[in-house]
Amino acid sequence: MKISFITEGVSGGTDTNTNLANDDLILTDALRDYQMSTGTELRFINNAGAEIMTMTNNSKLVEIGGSWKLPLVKGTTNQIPMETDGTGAVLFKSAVSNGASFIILSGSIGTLNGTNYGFFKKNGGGMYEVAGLGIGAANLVNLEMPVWDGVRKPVAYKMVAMRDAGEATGMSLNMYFDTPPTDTSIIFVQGSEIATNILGTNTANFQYFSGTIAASNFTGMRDGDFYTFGVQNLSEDMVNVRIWLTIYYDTSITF
Amino acid sequence: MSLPIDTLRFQSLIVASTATTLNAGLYFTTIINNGAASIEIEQSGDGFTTALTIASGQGISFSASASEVLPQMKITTGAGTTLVSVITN
Repeated sequence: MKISFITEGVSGGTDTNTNLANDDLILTDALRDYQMSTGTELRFINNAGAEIMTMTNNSKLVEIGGSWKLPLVKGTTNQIPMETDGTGAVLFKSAVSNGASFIILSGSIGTLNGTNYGFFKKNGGGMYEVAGLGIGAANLVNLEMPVWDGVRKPVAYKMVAMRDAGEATGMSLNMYFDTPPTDTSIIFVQGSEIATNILGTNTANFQYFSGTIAASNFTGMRDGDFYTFGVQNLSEDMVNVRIWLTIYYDTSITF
Repeated sequence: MSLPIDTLRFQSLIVASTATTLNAGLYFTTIINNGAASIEIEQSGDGFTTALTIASGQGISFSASASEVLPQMKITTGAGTTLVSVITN
C-alpha cells in the first residue's frame, strides 16, 4: 500500500503560515506574526501601484500614503500631538483643557432708571443706558460687543457689583443680540435671563454673583450677529451702579 | 490500441460531524480536508479502533498494492465549516 500526504497547494491553509495571502491570517484564534527582514519594507499598494501604507523594519515607522509618518510614541493623559518634524517624531502638549478664554466687562451708571437697560462700553467707564432695545450705529460702536462666531460659546459668568442702599429690587443679567440689518440701527433680542438676583440685597457694599450660561440663554443667535452682555433694572431707580463682569467661554471649540 | 479509461468518483462531504463509509475494495482513495476543522479517518484493518486525524488544509492519499484492495474506511467530518473532497476509483 502507498500512502501520500498532501500538505501544499490545498486551499484552507498550509503548515507554513508565512504567506500574507494565506487564509490563516484572517483566523482569530491565534496571534500571527509577520517578521520582516533587516532593511526591508512591507508595503500595501493600490491596484495602480501607489503606496497606501508602508512599514519599515529598521525604523519601525508606519507611513501612510507615501508621506505621513505616524508618531512612534503616544502622549499621556490629556495630551495631544502638537508638532511633528516630519520624520515620525512628535511633540506632545497638554490639551487645552484649562485654557478657557474670557472677556472682562466693567462699567458704572449714576442712576439706572426704572426698567432701563445698561450696556457695557469699550474700556469700561460709564455704561450706555437705554429704555428700549433699538440702538443706532453711533451708540453700537461704543459698546463692548463681539460678533458671534457660532463656535466659541460662553458658559459661565462671575460678577462683582455695587449699588446704593436704596429700594431697587435688583437687575437681571442677559445676553443681547441681533443680526446687523440693512440700515443703521438694530433692535436687540434679549435672551432668556441668565440671572435675576443681581444686586437684590439692599446694601451699598460689594456683592458677588456667579453662575452658568446655557445655550438657552442665547437661543436664536446666528453666526455673524452682534452680541453683548447687559443688565436690565427690574424696578425702581438704582443709583451708583458699578459692575465688574467676567464671561468665561467653553474650553472646547466645536466647528 | 488505446488503454481502457479508469473510473474516478468524486464526493464532497459537507455535513459537519458526520461519518461517511468508504466500502472495502477500492484501489485508491484521496481525501482532502478543505474545512475549518480537522477530520478523522478510521479503517477496518484494526476494527476502527485508531483514528487518523487530518488537519484543516491537509490531505492524504491511499493506494493499494498490486493484487490488493483497500480496507473499509470511515471519514468523520469535524464541527463547523466542512468541505471534505473524496476521490476514489
